[in-house]
Amino acid sequence: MSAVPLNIDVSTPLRTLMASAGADCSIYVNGGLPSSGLPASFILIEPNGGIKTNASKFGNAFCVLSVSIYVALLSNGAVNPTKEDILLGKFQSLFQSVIKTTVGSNHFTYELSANPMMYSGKSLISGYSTKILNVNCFINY
Amino acid sequence: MSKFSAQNASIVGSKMNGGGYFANIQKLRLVADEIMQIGRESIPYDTGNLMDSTGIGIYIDGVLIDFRYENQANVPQTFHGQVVWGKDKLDKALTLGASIYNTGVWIVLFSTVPYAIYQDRLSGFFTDVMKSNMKYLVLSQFKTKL
Repeated sequence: MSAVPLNIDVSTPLRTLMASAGADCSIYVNGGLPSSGLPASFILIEPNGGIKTNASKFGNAFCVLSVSIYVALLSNGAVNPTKEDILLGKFQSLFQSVIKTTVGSNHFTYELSANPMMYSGKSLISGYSTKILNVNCFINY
Repeated sequence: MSKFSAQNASIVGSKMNGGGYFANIQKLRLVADEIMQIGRESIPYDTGNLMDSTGIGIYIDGVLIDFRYENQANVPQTFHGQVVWGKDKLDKALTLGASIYNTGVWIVLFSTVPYAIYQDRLSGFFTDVMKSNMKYLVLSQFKTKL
């Protein structure tokens, strides 16, 4: 098997999996967030840390993605917990079984990190609350 | 890294490896909570921007596993005429994980707006007071002789 490319994009295959599982909100990857006109709720997938391997010649690799779930605040500035819970529940249900996909010659397997919640709060972006979860990605395992 | 910082890192690192992984993560999260609380109680509320410039990241082998940031201000910070929201700080924190904090366990206090640097030069609030508090809390959590 060929080496895992150091510039491999692990975010887009997860977006594709989430979209095919029925995610009904916009999903952006790798910083591709528009500067205006954001929808009422959306998901952003970005690398968290570098790509690592324990194998020789990078035959397989491991990395972590941060998946941020953004939900517009209510008109009084409060968090919308109902909408947050719905999106979070849908996201978590994706990982009830192993999710994997193949792109080109690379196989991707995703799982929620064991201690996944990295951040929960509001106003990382004006007018939105945010929950960020870490997702492990195994490449060519 | 100074001799003492290296020694502290070694002690905390050995405790991390010796104890339960999740229990130790929780200890670092408690430290982060305490530091944010100290910030809330110590930083005078004017526009909220100085408090908003303060955040904490916990890294394990380059992965940001916890990010604390509190928005109090109703207006964004400005930096050279550009508005700055927490997302920019998060992006910076993620970038740092892939670079300078990419090995080992780190708890990092962020203070990111020019006004914070100005305040720090006046009083040493971040590099002296907050850093000392953080060091004390980390060592206390891991029950090391102080």
